[in-house]
Amino acid sequence: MNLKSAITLLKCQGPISLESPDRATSAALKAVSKSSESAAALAHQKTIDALVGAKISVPVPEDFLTSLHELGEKLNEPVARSSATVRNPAFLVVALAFVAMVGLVVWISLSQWDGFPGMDEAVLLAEAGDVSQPSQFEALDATAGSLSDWFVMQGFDGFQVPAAFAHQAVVGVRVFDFEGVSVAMAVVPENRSFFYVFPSRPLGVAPGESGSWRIIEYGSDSAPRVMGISQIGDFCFMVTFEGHRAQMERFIRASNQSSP
Amino acid sequence: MSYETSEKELYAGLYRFAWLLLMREDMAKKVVMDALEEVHQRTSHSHEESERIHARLYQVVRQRALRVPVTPFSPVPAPARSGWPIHAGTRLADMDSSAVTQALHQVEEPGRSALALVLLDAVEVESIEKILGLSIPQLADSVDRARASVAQALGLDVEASR
Repeated sequence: MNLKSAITLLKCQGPISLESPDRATSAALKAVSKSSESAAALAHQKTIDALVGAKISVPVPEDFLTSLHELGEKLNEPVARSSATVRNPAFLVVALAFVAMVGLVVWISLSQWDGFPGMDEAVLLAEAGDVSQPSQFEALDATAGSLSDWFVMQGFDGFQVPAAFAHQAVVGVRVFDFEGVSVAMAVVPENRSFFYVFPSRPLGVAPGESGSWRIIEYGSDSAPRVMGISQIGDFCFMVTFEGHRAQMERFIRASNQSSP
Repeated sequence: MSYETSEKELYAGLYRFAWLLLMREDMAKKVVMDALEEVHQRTSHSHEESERIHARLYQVVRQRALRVPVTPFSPVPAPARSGWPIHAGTRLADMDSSAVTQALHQVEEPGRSALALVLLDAVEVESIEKILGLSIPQLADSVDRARASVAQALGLDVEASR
């Protein structure tokens, strides 16, 4: 391991990890020990971290830990089943009727549902990206359709947006990792939106055939957010902003109409 | 306490992380409770490895905590520098815990979350990368800046880079 990689790795380690290092950390410690300047800086880091770490170790209310444990138990509780009840013919008739009714409800719901395979992963990705801070972006002044080369230089090959969104102004860009998958992200001033592009297959996100849109509301009641997602080849293009389904529908419609 | 130590440590770590981001006990409790429910609902595979679930819990706690409107704090008054240099450890050891937590709270994201996760030592570095969506060099840079920022707020001289 070279000194630069070793320093980078050690900066990310807390006092406990440095006390009982794994293989990579041990190699980094060995590399750093050869440079007196870096070794001194590491010693300083350890001193500060140990002391700050001790001061931030706020007491945790014991009753709260018990509440969390009880909540965890409740969430993991299996549904109790009685074999005697299951064998009762009356129960079987009621159960069959119930299953048929649920099937009907599911069929009706699915015909109106805007969900898709990997929807939960897409929402998690959006939630992870939406809280990005301005300092995490590289500022620029460009349009969404002209960013492909910039992303290639950052190691993300395949950035593309639907033609209707190519003219959108972009003021910041970044590439981040989500569950081992690189995600390209752009800040768009209109509607204070974020554009995301990511390979669909590794995350199992399949919003449907190219050109069609899925719109999903997420976030909380106090801060509702909405995403519009569409497949482009092997990639997904996703737009998110604060608001509701109707606003996303308007945004997509307006982009399509203003597209040259 | 009848439940396992690892579970207790996880919950304690989540609470401390939420508390450092919010500095409010009631909100920290709520955020952790809500995150536990949310991650449970979204975790479809019971065999999913625990490190991944833990990372997701920290990620959701952070997302929820960052959405909570913050009450602005007054900057930490830098201690008087008479008699400098004094060993940093001596100064910190004598310092009030609230001044240290407040100094950390004032660090900009993602450095604040990064340093808190590193110091709490609750998850592996690879998980911190995923929680924050940063590469290792970006994470190292964020943690380094956060360390320097805390040290500066507390009036300690620390080298920002090696």
